[in-house]
Parts: sequence; C-alpha cells; structure tokens
Amino acid sequence: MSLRTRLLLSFGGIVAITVALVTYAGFVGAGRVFERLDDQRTAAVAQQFEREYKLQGEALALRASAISRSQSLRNMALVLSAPGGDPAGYVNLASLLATEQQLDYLEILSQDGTIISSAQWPARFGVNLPWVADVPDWNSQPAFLQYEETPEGKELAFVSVREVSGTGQNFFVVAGRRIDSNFLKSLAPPDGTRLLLWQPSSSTAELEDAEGTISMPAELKPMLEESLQERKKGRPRLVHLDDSASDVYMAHVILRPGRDSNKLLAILVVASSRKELHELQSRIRNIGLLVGVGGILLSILASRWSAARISRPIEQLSSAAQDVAAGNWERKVDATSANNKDDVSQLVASFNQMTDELLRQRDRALQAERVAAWRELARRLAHELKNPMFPLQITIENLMKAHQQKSPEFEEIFAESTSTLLAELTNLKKIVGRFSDFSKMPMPQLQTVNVNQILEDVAKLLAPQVASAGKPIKMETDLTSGDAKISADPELLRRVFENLVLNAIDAMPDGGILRMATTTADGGVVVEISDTGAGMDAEEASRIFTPYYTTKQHGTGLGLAIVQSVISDHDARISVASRPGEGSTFRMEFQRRPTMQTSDAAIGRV
Amino acid sequence: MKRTLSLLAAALSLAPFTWAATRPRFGGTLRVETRGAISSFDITEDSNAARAFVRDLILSNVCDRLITLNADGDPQPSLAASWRSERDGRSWYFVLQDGVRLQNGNALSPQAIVTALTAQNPDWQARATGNELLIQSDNPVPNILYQLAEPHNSICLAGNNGQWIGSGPFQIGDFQAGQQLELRAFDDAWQGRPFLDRVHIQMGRSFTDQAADLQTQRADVVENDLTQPRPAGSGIVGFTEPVELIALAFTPNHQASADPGVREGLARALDRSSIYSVLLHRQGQPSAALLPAWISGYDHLFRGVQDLTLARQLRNPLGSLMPLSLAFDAGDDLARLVAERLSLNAQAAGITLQPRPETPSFRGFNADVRLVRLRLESPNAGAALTRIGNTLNLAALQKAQTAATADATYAVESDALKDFSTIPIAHLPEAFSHAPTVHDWSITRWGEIKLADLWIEAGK
Repeated sequence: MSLRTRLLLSFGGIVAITVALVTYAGFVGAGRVFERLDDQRTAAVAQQFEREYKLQGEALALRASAISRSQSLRNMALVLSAPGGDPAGYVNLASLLATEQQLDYLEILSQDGTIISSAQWPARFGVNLPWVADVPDWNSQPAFLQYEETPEGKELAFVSVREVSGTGQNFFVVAGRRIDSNFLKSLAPPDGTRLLLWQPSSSTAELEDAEGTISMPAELKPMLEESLQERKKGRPRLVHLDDSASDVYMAHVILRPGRDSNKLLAILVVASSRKELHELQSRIRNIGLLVGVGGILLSILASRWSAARISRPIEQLSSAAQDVAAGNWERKVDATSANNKDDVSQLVASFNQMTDELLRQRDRALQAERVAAWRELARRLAHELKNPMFPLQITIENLMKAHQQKSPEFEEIFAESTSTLLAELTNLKKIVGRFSDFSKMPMPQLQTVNVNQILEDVAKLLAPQVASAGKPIKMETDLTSGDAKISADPELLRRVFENLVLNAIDAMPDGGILRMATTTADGGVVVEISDTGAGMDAEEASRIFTPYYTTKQHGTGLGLAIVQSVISDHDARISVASRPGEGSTFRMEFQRRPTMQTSDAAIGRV
Repeated sequence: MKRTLSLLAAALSLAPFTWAATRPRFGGTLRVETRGAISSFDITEDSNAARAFVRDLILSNVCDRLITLNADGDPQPSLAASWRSERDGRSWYFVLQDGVRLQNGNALSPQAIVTALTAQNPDWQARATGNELLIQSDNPVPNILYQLAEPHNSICLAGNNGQWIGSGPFQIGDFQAGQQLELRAFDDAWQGRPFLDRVHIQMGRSFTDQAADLQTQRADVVENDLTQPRPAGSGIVGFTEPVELIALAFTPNHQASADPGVREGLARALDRSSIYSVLLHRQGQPSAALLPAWISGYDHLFRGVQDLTLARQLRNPLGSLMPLSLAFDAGDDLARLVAERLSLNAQAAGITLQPRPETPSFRGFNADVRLVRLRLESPNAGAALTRIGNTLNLAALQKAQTAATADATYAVESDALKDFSTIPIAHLPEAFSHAPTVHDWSITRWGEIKLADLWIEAGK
C-alpha cells in the first residue's frame, strides 16, 4: 500500500469516524431531548383531555338542569303530581326537549323511576328504572357513563341526572350524549392526537375514534387488556395504530368506570403521534448523514490533497531513488515546496545534492578510469612498441655502421638487417592490428540464440584443449532445462564464452574443475563459468575488465575488456566473484531482449 | 213598528249575499293533500292504509261501480240499475244502465264490466247478455252487493299509459308518480258534471305539513293525525268510524315464526291498553278482533288483555329462539312507535322482536312479521272480512264471502284468528280537515269520499 493511500486512509478514517461519532451523538442527544419534550406534551394532552371530559360533563349537567327547570317540565310535573294525572299526553315531551337541547338521550322519569317519556325510545314509556332512586341527591352528582337502551340495542352514553322537585312529587331528568366518534370529536383533540374509545363489553374487537370505527391495533390490545384486568391505567407506551410503520403513537390509557365504579364501561386512549418527532429525528438523521457523508467526502478530498502534498515529494524521492539505483544518476527531484525549510524540502535538496555528487564522482571516476585506461593503454603501447622498436633501432644502427665502415659483409649485413626490420615491422603491425581490432569491435547482430547450445558448442570445441592440458581438468556443465533463449549475436557470444573458458583453463595449471552453468532468473538467463584455479584478490578482480590489464606473462590484456564490451553491447551484465586459492566465477546476466546501446563506459574506439 | 221594519229591511238586504254564500258554484280547484302516495294505478289490495286511501279516493271519483252504499250503508243502484239473485245467492243478475260513456268517449260496454269484475274476483263467473250482467258463483255470495260497492270492484279500464279510464265524474289528468295527481271534471259524466273543475291531490305530505298547509290556505282538504293534538285553526274536521285495522301479520313459511307457541306467546304479551292510551291517544279502540265493533258487533268476544305469565309459559319451552324481524312502514311514525312498543312487550315475554323499517331492499315479505294498517272499505262484515283475507292472504277468511249472518262471520273470523298468524291490535278512525271554503264535504262512516257534490267558494 503506497504512502499516499495510507495517509489518505488515516486522515479520511479519522475525520470520518469523528464526524460519524459527532453526528450520532447529536442525533441521540437531540432524540432524547425531543422524546422527553414529547412525553411532556403527551402527558399535557392527556390532562387536557381529562379537563375537556370534565367540562363536557358539566355542560351536560347544565343542560339537564335547564330541562329540569323548564316551564314545560314544570307544567308536566304539576299535572302529574295532581291526582289522576295522565302521563300519556307527555310521551313525546322528551323528544321535543332533547331536540331543543341537542341531546342524544333524554328520559323523564317519575318519582319511582318509571319512564314517562323517552326521547331515544318513545315506546319505552312505563318501563321502570329503579337505579334512579338509589341516589339521594342527583343535583350534586357529576356526569357518568352508562349504557342506554335504544331500539337498536345498548349504547354507551355520557349521562347526567337532575331532579325536578318542588311540585309535590319528584321527577327525574336523565340527559345524555352518545359516546361515539362525534363525542370524541367534540373533545377537540389537538393536531397529532387521537382519541380512541374501547368498550370492554363490546363483542367486536373494534375501537371508535373521531372519524369512526377502526380495527383494534395489535399492539394496543395487550395494553388495554392489562388495564382492564388490573383496573389501572399503566404506563404510557409506544404503539402503532395503523399499518404505517412510521406512525407511532405514545398512548395513555384513561379508565372510565360507570355509575357502579366496579364495572369498567369504557377505556379511553389518548394517543399522541410521534410522527413529528420521527420526522424531526429523521430530518436530523438525514442532515447528520448528509453532513457526515459530506464531511467524509471533504475529508477524503482534503486527505487526498494533504496526502498528495506530503507524499508527492516522498514519492518523487522514492521514484528518483529507484531510478538512481537503476543507474539513472542524473535523475532529479523537483523541489517546489513553498517552505524550503521543511524536512521534506531539505530531504529533496539533500537527495539532489547527493545525486549531483554521485554524478560528479562518477564523472571523476570515469575520467580517472579513462585517464587510467589511457595511461594503461599508453604503457601497454609503450611496452608493446618498445620491444620491437629496440631491435629495429639496433638493426638500423648496425646497418648504418656497416655502411659507414664499408664493411665487406655489408651485403650480408644489409640482407640480415632488412629481414630483421621486416619481421619487427610485421610484429608492430600485428600489435597495431590488435589494438585496431579492439577499437573496431562490431555491433552485435542480434538473433534468437540458445545459450545452452552455444555453451555446448564451446565445450565441444575446447574439449581437446582441456584434455591436452598438463594436469587433468574436469569440465562440468549444468545447463538449465528452462527456456535459455535470448536475443544475442551468436558469434560474439561464442567468442566471449571461448575467452572465458580459455582463461579458466589458463587459471588451472595444476588441473581442477571447469564448470559452465545456466539458470533462468528475473526474466533472463544467467550464465556462470567458473574454475577452481588460483583465484584473484579484490583489487585484481576490480581491474580484471580494464583494457590491457593482465595477470599473464603473455597477452594483450584485452580479452576480458572485449568480453565486457560484448556483454555490455548485449545490455547484459558481467561480474566476477573470486578469492585467492578458491578459483573464480564469471557471472553473466542476459536479458531475453536487450535494448541496443553503445558502451559509453568503455574507452573510445579507434 | 219602525224597529221591526228596519230589521226586515236589513234582513232583506242581506238575503242575496247569504243565498249566494250557500249556493253551489261550478268551477275551482280543490287542493287535497294526503300522506300516502301511489306510483301506479293498481287496483289490487294494499296493506298500507295511507296508500289505500289515496287509491280509494281516486277510484271513487274516477270510476263507477255497479253498486254504491248510502249513508246508512245500504246498497244503492249505480251502474247496475237493478238486480236480483237466484239459486240462493249463487247467481246474481244485474241490469246495467244505458248510455254510460267513458272518459275516453267510448260507451261503457257490458263486456268491459265483465272483464273488470272477473279480474278482481277470479272465483266469479261473469257474463253479459245484452244489457244484463250475470255473476255466478259455486257458493252463495249473500254480500255480493257490498263487495260490488267496494272500491276494488270499480269498473275501470286501463288507458294507454296505464291510467284508469272510468265513467265517474272526474278523469285523470297530469300524474307525477309518488308526488301529485290532477283530476279534471268529466263534462259528459252520466251522473252529471261535478261542480269542481279540478282536484289537485298532493301526495306524500306528512301530517305536520298538511296541517300547516291547511292553516296557511295552501290546501283545502287534509288528513289529520289523530295521535297528535290538533292545532288551532285546523279547519273543520270530519271523522270516520274506526276503519283502519292495525295488526301483526306473520309471513307464511318463515322458520322463525313457524312455531304457534311463538305466535301465541307474542299475542299474549301485547299490551294493547298502553298502546291505545298512550300511542293512540285514546283514539279508536284496542281490539283483538279483525272487525271493529261498529261493523261486527262482536269484537268484545275476542279477548286482548296482556298476560305475560301465559306468554312466558308458552315461550319458555321453546328454548333458544331466533330473533323475529318486524317490518313497518318507514314513513309512518305511529307504526314505528307501535312497533317499538311491541318489541318491548315481546322482550318482557322473552321473545326478541326487532323492528325494521321497510326499505327497497327489505320489504314486508322479507320480515318474519309485519305491522300492517289495513283500510276496511265496507261496512258489511262479510265483505270486510273477505277483503282482509284477500289482502293478508288468509285463506280461512274466504269463507266470509258466504257468511250471511253475524254468527257465521264470527265463526269465520275466530277460525282465522285461532292460529295467531294475524294478531289484531287496534282499530283507528280516520279524520280529515277541510277549509271553510269547502262545502258539501261528504265522507261516509267507512271513509269513502265523494267529490262530485263538493264545491268551493270563489277565491277572496
């Protein structure tokens, strides 16, 4: 994983986690605050409902009182209080009064509880309601729930009873409102609040709300049954009242017993919608997510920029270092940091300085090597040329002397001298020709060659020479079974291998083992030619490829230089590992497809 | 002397005015309002008294009958000028009036009379020979004259648009089904042109609206709700005898009401006296008989006192009972009250009786029992019982056609009531109010209204 990616992940991760934590904390915190506020609101709504309910009861009681004090009722009371009073004429009175007072139920009862007139069921005259005589003073009683008989059956009613007295006999006015959707609507629940009515004695699992009848929500049923059993309202709970998963209500249960407080006639549920809260929470969550995602994206962008800003110079340094390691010592790193005093800039400057120094040292080394090579060349030339030059000089001096002395043997001396001169000149020509050959090393003609095959050919070619050596030399080959094909000049390659093998033979005058091996590595082929001869020390090993450097008595010292030049022309690499007494191993690393390059490290060609 | 002469002069000066006020005049439109409403011209029996009244009102004034009844209820000639019977009342011969024209201009033929009569009386064999009509029956029909005097035996032909065409003093004009009907004077009526030019009948008006319209002079003749106090200024009121039978009629072949114990239990549970005294405001009479006392004279022989103990005794062995549905006319407030009261009475005996108003999807025959208000159209016991039998499909009452004596009709009636498939509750009279400008208003004891002799004062 690159430095930039690591930096990006680190910065981005830290910011993202931070943003997420902050958003979550904000969401949870805000949610709790809103829930607490909502609970308070719901409780307030429940209290408001209780007040409204009480007010409705008081309004009902006022209407009942108004009826009980009305002139028509007092007239009726007077007539019926007198002996022989016939209630038949008043059978429709309750209907008229109920219409006037907008009541759903109204019954006028005699002192013993017999119905004189019933608005909701006119035919019910004469039926006795004994319970009305149980309470001594109805005028101080609040409204209560009870079931009213109607032609359609029993209906739950909110009822108030008032007495008509002062006319000899007492009469009772039982006024009521139907507990249904309209009643719930009249309680004016605030927006977001639903009032639900459940009648435990009802055979259907239905509730009434302000709009009509609804099916019992599954989540509400256990709550109601628990309240019914335990006769207490229990803690408010969150419930779903319809199929919408998002619409949750906080439900408060309010118990409503009838006249007989042992019997629960109705359970009212004040359900306050959590929809707003949910929407708010949802909005906060969405905003939080938006901010979070935005923050994360921003952090990613910022991290990318920061990482890029930090890592770019380092990457450049890393790339440059790799280039330098690969041999491109001229590679520089762009030092464009605004702050030239920061560490990275200093590192870049140091790197560039280092590469400059390396270049200078390389140039110096090259130059020194070049100078050394020229010196060596000059020494060699001087050495090589000095030998034939001396006999030339002696011969010519002898010839001059013989001529000056008019020697009778001048003709013999002349012929001998000229013959010597010609032989030495031929020798000089040879020496010059070898130097010329070195300078005119041909460019390799590349083709696909099998290195193993060339080594086998060389081994066959030199096998007689190996066999005729003074002391036995064992030739071993360890050629790879893999693909040993490379792109090379077969002739030049053969010359290289021959040179190395001959050098190895020369290095084992007392016999030994000559080993030729090939392996495949890094997409190329490695050739090793090793001997178990005298070996070299470190200094000899470092100079072995220098032109005209030789450890032999005879030789031009160009063999290994030529080898190196050929190897270099093949874009390959040659190295030597040697220790005194342990022999030497020449290792050549060939690429399968070399790039054509000139050997600019070598001495300029003649 | 001088004083006497002055008085005489004053009286003489007023004479023309007084005479003019009591002298009938031709012309004018009589505005009648009714509670019932008809949608078609159907002469068949109707168990709804309000609709039956409207139908009878039209039939009585558009179509003639062979026989009419006078104020005492005795048969009088009408389209039949004379008659005789033979074979102990199995054959009846009627000599028809000559020169009777129908409202479509055609002469009323004897064959048309035969067709009209046999359509309503399938048991009769009628044929016309010349100007004589013969009606024969396998059994004696001693009260055939009273039957022929009933509105359903009016001689009406069906016009192209289904409206009645008769020979009566009025012919049918504009008709809006269920709403209003206009009768126009038939100038060539064989009994003479009526005084009125038109009679406008506004149907489907509630009692309250009728009373208001009479008070505000938007109507001339209206029906009265006897169960409510009459408001002041409600005009001149005329009553009939109790001509309306309020009864429970069980629907045949209904499982819920098939058990006679259920029916008798319900009959015993009824509190007729409360219904009479409170709901009917002591109008009419409570009764356990099909015919009121003024027709039969023997209604007191049918006991109708509430006996809850007996009712429960009859009901308890029956175990679990299905609720009985009780159909009543949705537009009849009195019927609703009575039905609800009956439900309470039944509840006291352990029988569930569920009142349900009739609707287009819930008709009377869909219910286990119906609360009916039948209009009795004849003062004759046999004819009235026959009529009830035809209306309620009580086969047992068919024998009333042949009942000639009170004993015979009593036997027929008690036989029909013994299975409690019909439970009479009360008889109720009808009452009408008319404006002071209406003169010579005539309604019989049995509720027949003849408009031919009625006239109204000119508008003031």
